[in-house]
Amino acid sequence: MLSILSEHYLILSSLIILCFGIIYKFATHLQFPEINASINVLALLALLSTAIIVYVDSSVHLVLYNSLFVKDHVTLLVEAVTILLAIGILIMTSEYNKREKLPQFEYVILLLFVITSIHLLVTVEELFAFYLILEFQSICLYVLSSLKKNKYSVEAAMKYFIIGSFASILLLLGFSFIYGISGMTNLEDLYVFFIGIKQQEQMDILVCISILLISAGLFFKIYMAPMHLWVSDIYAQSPTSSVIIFATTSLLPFYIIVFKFYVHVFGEYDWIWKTILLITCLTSILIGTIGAMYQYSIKRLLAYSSIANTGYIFASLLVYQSPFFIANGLLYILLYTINSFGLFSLIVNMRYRNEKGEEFQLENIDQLKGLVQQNAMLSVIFAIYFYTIAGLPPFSFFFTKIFLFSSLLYSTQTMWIVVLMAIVTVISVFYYLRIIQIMFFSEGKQNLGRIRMQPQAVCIINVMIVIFNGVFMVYGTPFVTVAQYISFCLYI
Amino acid sequence: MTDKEFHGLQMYVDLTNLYEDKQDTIMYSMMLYLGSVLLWINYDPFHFAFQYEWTLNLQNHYFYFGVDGLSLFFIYLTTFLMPLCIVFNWTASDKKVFSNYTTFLAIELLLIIAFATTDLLVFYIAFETILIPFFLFIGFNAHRKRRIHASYLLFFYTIAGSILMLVSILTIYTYTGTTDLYILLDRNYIQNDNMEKIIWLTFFLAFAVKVPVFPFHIWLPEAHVEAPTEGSVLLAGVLLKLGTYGMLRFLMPMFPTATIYYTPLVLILSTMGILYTSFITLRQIDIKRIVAYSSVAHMNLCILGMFSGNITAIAGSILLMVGHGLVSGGLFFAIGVLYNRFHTKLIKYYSGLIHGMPMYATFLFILTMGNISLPLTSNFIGEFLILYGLYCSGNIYGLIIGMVSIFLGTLYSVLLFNKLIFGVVREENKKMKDLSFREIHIFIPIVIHVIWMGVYPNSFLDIINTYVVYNFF
Repeated sequence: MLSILSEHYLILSSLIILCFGIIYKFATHLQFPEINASINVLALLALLSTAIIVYVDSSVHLVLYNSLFVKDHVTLLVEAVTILLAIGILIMTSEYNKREKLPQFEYVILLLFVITSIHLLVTVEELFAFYLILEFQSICLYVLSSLKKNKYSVEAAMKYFIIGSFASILLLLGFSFIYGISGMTNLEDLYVFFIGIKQQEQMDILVCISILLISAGLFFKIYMAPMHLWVSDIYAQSPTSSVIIFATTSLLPFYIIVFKFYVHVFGEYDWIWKTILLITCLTSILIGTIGAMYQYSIKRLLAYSSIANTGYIFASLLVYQSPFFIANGLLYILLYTINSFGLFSLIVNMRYRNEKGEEFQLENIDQLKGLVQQNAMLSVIFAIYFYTIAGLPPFSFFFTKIFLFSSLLYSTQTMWIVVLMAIVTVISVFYYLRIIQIMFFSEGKQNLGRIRMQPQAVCIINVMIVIFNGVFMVYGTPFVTVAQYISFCLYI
Repeated sequence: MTDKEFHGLQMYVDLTNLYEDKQDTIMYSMMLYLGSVLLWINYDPFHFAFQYEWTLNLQNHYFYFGVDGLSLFFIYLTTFLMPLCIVFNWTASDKKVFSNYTTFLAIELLLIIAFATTDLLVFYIAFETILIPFFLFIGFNAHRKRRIHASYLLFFYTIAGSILMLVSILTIYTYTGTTDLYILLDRNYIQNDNMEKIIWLTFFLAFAVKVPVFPFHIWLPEAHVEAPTEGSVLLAGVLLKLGTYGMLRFLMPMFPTATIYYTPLVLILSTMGILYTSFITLRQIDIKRIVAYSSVAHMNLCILGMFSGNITAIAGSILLMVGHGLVSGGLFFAIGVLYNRFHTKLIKYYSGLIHGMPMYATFLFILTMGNISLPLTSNFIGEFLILYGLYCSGNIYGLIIGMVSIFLGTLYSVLLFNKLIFGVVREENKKMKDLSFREIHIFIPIVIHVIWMGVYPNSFLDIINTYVVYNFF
């Protein structure tokens, strides 16, 4: 049964690509050739065939390696989504990497490793294996953020590395506390164990500390508020092609991981983690919204907006535990991931050219001035993304937002959160609208600056995303059904 | 670097200019107008409930649409004003990247959806979505820097007011499992009185911002002054009516106890609004601001009538809404005519227009008489019925305030007319041209409707009566 594991295939193929790259790139008789196109094709082939394997191998519940890995339909969803995202990222960023002279070969390999480790993260059921895989993923991300050889990128990577290692240590400490309490590391065993010790009061403080430490470690990875200070720096200073990977790939898997830890393992201690989650969600919503208010760098703005949206997403765990409510969180993640991917794919491929004819990567919101006069459709798509992420009706994100609101309204204890969220939503509309205003209403001055959109694939993928949003608006039930099915699978 | 490389996405640009053709746009809007006329002709005035019912089935989620005595006239008003706006916009430059016609049709469609739906959520979505084309419309078409401020005000006042209404709608949904008005009107679904009062407040806030009631009115003059003429006409003519329509359709029938509980508050707010805005109007130097503030006063009079607890006053306020939509729309068209000629909206630059523009002066006179609710014009019937209803319900203070508002309305309207039309011809106004053939045909239908409503209001009141008696008696 080992060969069925699609991760095997992905690891093997990425290692083969790595070998190919190393041997070919250091071929002296070819003068160390640049291998942009071929490595892209190989990586795409690897991802597509992994997607086929994932599609074929849709077994319901598969326990592997002495219950080290468990595969079910939840992991299937995560694998499918991340592979599709990786294919999209590869297509979108190759042009950017070529222009910015980033090492495409390293980028592709690291992307494949990140995808592999995400697949393993959601399947793994063992605490220390989980920790090791998480470290593997984090190291890939640190290297990705230092891919551009300038001081900003290196600074971002150093920050990311130092803070990330600190957070991992906290996570490891939490795991060792659990091991100290129970003497076991398997999640299923721990689930049974924590049901059993519920009556013993003296255990509570230890469990509380371990939940706190694990939360601290995990919240670092998902950009929740008290651990958010590094996010905007790393978004702004890393190369944009790496930022796409940070922004889009980690949300769905970490939602499922946090769900596993909180609801499965610590299901009996929900008062602890619900308190933690309440505080962190509210603070991240507030900080994300207020922090994004006067940002001029577009990547910093998106960093803060992702902090705020993480708050919204994880608030869906606060409600009374029912699969229908978790489905709302999953839908929110799906829509947010797709739209932020579209937004980043535009930002990656936009070049700003000033009066002297020099080209820069698009960095500031001001550079979008008067975009509508140069490229109307691009600005319309941009505006649709911003309206969508702002959660304004009638765009698709509005519906996921009201699903989330209505699930929080079922309990009178969480009703006030909805009121707060609604008010904060209004505040967040302000800065999304500011970008639209700059694109549409500003004129004159910077008419010589031009926005360049290179590959045709960008057009096609973005139009597809917009059409998907439109379909979700009028025909959303299939997606809701899938999300509900997946959340039922989570509870099994 | 060739141009081809720059515009990777430019190949789809034609999508945005689908409705660039004026002939097509006016044909669509005239077809919609014809449809609404047929709606009125085929409407059965003795039938109580919604007519022309239509169900939208989206994956087993049913959304109901229907027309009754209230929404019929607002749909008619929307479809009536829209072709006039397009005609007014006829010679505007076509060099804009986004045509105004797309936004016109989007606004018209959304308004019709908002007026025809019987579902709370669909109403909310239409109510909010109208902001997006309006935001773009004001931002694109106006000239000054201040327009951005104005469009922000429009957007944020409305969205900040109505976001809590969304929370209330979702709360109602979690209690009942539906947002359909049919079912919500039948059942006493909220057991808790305090809950009903809170939900009432959130609904009222959303509608009060839109009307606008006194403390929330700041956005309206700004938006009017910065918006182009067509935007002002739609804003005053139809968009403000969304607030009063929402109060009549959702607020009062769904929460009767809370409505009675909060009636004093609403009466105080609306009387304050009437007096305050009427006095403010007397001090304005911008023509558009005058009409904008006067429309605030009129809409507050409508609210005074609606909350007086008398069915005659309610019928009168519905009639006043329709009449005010016509009259203020006509007045904004008149200001637009002046602005197109002289490119200023300040009163002090105008004087003695009668000497060069007699036809314009005539139409402006009729519309001004409509605004001061002279007998034989549309507003007179509405205001008379409101005052009668206030008298019948024993609300003497409301009656006095209403009378005062009519007096003050006369004051500022006649003052404005006097300053514009009579007096010595100024140097700036020497080269004036009277109304063109196109502009005359904007004013004639409006004036016909104003006088028709004033002379024979029964064609409106027959339908309104049935609705009011069925819903509020």
